Parts: sequence; structure tokens; C-alpha cells
Amino acid sequence: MNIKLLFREIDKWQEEQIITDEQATIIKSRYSDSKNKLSPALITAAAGVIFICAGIVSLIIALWKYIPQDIKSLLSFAPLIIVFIITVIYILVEKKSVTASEIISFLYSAGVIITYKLTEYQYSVPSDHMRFIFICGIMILPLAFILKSTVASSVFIVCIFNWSFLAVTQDHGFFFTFFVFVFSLVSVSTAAIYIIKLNKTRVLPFRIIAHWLSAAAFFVLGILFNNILLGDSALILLLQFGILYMCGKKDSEIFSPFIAAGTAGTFTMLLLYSTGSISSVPEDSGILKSCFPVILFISMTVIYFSNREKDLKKTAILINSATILVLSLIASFFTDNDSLPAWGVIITSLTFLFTGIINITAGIKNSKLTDINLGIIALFAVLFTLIEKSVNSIEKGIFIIFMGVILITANIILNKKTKKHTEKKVDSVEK
Amino acid sequence: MKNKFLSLITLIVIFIAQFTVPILFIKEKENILSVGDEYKFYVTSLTDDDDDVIKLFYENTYFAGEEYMRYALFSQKENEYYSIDGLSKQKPESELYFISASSSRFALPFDTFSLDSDNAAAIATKAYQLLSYGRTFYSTVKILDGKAILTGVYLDDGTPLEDILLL
Repeated sequence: MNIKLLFREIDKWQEEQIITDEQATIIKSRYSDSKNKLSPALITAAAGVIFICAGIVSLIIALWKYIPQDIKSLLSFAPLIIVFIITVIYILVEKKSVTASEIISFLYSAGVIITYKLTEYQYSVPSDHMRFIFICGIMILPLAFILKSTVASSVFIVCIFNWSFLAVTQDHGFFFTFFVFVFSLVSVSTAAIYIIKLNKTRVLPFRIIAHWLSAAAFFVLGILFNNILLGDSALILLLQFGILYMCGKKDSEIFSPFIAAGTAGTFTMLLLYSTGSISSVPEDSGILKSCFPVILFISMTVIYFSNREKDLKKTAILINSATILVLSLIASFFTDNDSLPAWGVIITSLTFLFTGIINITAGIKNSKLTDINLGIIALFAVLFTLIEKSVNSIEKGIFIIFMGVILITANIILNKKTKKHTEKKVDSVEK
Repeated sequence: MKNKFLSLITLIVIFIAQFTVPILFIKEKENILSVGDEYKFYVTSLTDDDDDVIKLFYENTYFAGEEYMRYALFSQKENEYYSIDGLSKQKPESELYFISASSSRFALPFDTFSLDSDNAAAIATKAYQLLSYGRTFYSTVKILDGKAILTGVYLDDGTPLEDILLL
């Protein structure tokens, strides 16, 4: 049976009101390919694993000076060796899934970056950030092809964008600048085309997890490495989703990655503004600094008005991004150090709190894990802002691990409940 | 099977390349330490940045934080000491330059000194006393092709910074 054809037909029946929305969902759930289907629990379990890994790394960094030298040297190379072994085992295993490929690809990318950073730190290697991100990008790109992963190509795109931006800000002469432009354009287009091609051949939820992972990865890496790739990385992700959207993918789920990236983006902006770290953006470009919140706000508005149903949780997200936009504009043009004043942090935290509560409530009511997860992340953003300045790195590490554990536990419990709920519905319809 | 084998071979090749990068980083550092030229810079003041880290301040570093300045030029000022003259976006023709530690803003690559012990605060207090008595500190920096590594911080009589508590 051609499942895709059947699903298309079900959509038509739904539009023509031959069957109800509920019946359509039940029929789809009955015939959906369980092997390739990705549950929201799995998506956020992956996000939880990321948090736990990031927390462990954060703890290792905090406790670094207490670790003996020999063990430190071993630890510097350990992430790369571990992820390599995991990947070899994965390639040798018969059963493969796109989800596992994306998770392994994410872990591998993180392993490469962490190993390089730890080596720089451990051996006091002179730091050259421009070279660092270029090497990371080039070294991670092959994973996109080996593991057929959009995460790896996303990391590559971000690295090359950052590198080319930095390269053209340095006065290297016309030919170098020209090379940078051509190289960046060709490589980024290649990666973008690859992503689009992959997305066309894959089940849609896999793209969502890929972008979920990418978005999560960037703000986790940003926290760990002093906001190196933070704001502009999230911006690039949004642009990437924009490209996908422009390519004609008009299905409603296309917005899921937007929402995930948007949440990651607003979280990032909150952190940057509340800690004053936005100063890594050029001082003489007030408009440029506001680019991210502007694009974020536009994306959120598009999502909001493109969706047929306009409920409170979507309005909350829109209000959230609008608040970030207004406050960032205020910070850019009216403050000296670009960090939000205390009242700004309070307002942003309140909108996050509002978004979190509304999403969790709506999620529990409608048994929608995506909403619950968005809510949990929004609440974590508030908590993280509150503890950011008052706790040391060890406590921060423990907090990030705690976030991961909560995400996984909440999703396992809620997923079980949702399954039971769906089974009951199916039973009642069959009767 | 063929695809699996090909993926595995490609991964191994990529892993070797990835593993080579940090080794090259370490080799580069060793090369700077063995072949690089050593320069001395006056340390105008120092503070404890962490339990085991001392933050160093130099003269003429008012421009630290300027945007997108990758190169810093320096020249010999008095005796054997050097001082920073200014910043540049372009790679200087002179050999007396070093690359910023940060990409978006200029940051000195030799302004933190890590100690083996946790007594940075005591050392900083003692150094402050010595500076107020008119003593001076200097740092030694090895530079090769713009890559700079701080090799030590000393009191004017050559006593290493970490040993000043014994004075």
C-alpha cells in the first residue's frame, strides 16, 4: 500500500469534509510507518541528552583545574575518540534510522569542536578564532555526507558564514575578499541544496529533529564557549528555514522548526541582553544588532498569521518575540553597553513566564507534547536568567543536567499518557 | 555492504584528518616556543582574575576592545623592552606584530597568566605592594608569524611572579 498516496487522499477527504479531523488523525495513526515515525518524546529526549552532555562538559570545564595534568591531556582528545567509536559501531549496525544518524552527527560535531577547544585550552595554544571556526566547518562537513545529516550541514553553514563575515571585516585585499565571497557562496549553496534534497526524500519530522538539534546545539555551544557563535548562528538557522519555506514546502509542519529555532533564538537573546554579552556585536551598527530580533519577530508574525487557528499560546509566542524586538531596539539605541536594564530583564522574563505557562497548560489540555516542551524551555530560560549571575560554573553545569533530566522524564511520562489517550480514542471510534 | 565499507573507510580518513588538527595545534605551539623570538613588555599593573589566574595590564592598551582589528604592531621603546604602537586590519609588513586573541574585538593574547597554585590573590596583593615601592614587572612573550605565547612574568630582578611571595 502506498502510504503517501493514502495520506494525500485522507487530507483530501478531510478538506472535503467526508471525514472529521479526529477521524483523519486516527486513520493516519493506524497506517503511519511506525519505523520511520518520530515521536515528540524522542525529539525532546534528544534535546535532553544534549542538555545532559552540555552539563557534564560544563562541569568538567568548571572542575578542570582540579584534574591531574595527565588525565587532562587524555580528556582533551576523549570527546573525538568516543564519538568516532560510537559512529563506527553505528555504521556497522544493520538497523539504521535517520533520527539516530542526526543525533550521532550532532554528537560528532560537538565532539570535534569540544576536542579542539579543550586542546587549545590545555596546551595553551595561541587562539585564532577565525581559523578555528573555518577548521571546524571543514572538518564537520564530511559527516553530512557520511551520515546523511542535516545537523552537520547546518553546523558547516554556520561556521562558514561566521568565518566569511569575519574574513571580509579584515582588510585582506580584493582577491582574498573575492575568494571568501565565492567560496562561501558556493559552499553554503551546496550545503543548502543538500539539505533541501534530503528534506524532499525524507519523512518531515526528521527535518524537525535536525533543526531542533541544530538550534539547541548553537545556544548550548554558545553558553559553553562564551557566546562565540550565538546570535548570528541562530539568525542563519532562521534564514535556512526561510530558504526551505521559499522552496515551496507548504505543509503546516514546516513551522515546527521555526518555532523551535524561534524559542532557541529568544532564549539566546534573553541571555545575551541580560548578561550584556551582546557587546560581541559591532558597536557602530545599531541596525545590524537589531537584525536578529527583527527577523525573529517577522518569522513569528508569519507563523502566527499563516496558521488557521490563532490560540493563546501562539499569541504568547508572538508577544514574546515582539517584546524581545522592542527591548533590543531600546538597548541598541539608548544604552551604552547594549545590555538590558533591570526592568527590561524583568519584562522579558515575565513574557517568557507567560509563554511557558500558557504553552504547558495548552499542551496538557490538548495532549500536545510540542507545546509542553516549548513551555518547559521557556520556563528554563527564565530560571537560567535568574541564576546566571548568582551561581558559579559548577552549579550552572548541574542546572543544565537537571534541565535535561526534567525534559526526558516529562516527555516519557507525557508520551505514555498521550499514547493511552490515543488508544482510547481509536477504541471508541472502532466501537 | 559496499556502501557500509565505503562509509567506514571515509570516516576513518576523516577521523585521521580531524585528529591531526589538535596535534598540529600543539606542534605549532612547540614551534613558536622553540623558534619564535622573545620580546619583553612592561607590565603596568596586575590583578587576580580567578583563584589561579593573574590578569596583566600593559601600557598603551587603551585600544583593546576596538572592533575587527586583527593585528597589533609593536616596537622597541627602551633598553630591551617593547611597547604596543597601534592596531591594524591589514597584515603588517614589519615582523613586529601579533594577532588578536579575539576575532570581533581586539584582545591581547598575553594578558592572563595561569598559576599552578590557587594563591593568585596573595600574589596580586604582593605585586601591588612591590609596584607601589617603585619596582617593575615585565612579561616575556614568544612570537612567531603573529602568534604570541606568554612564557613568563618576572619582577625587575628576574624573580618569577609565582615566587614573589618568598621575597
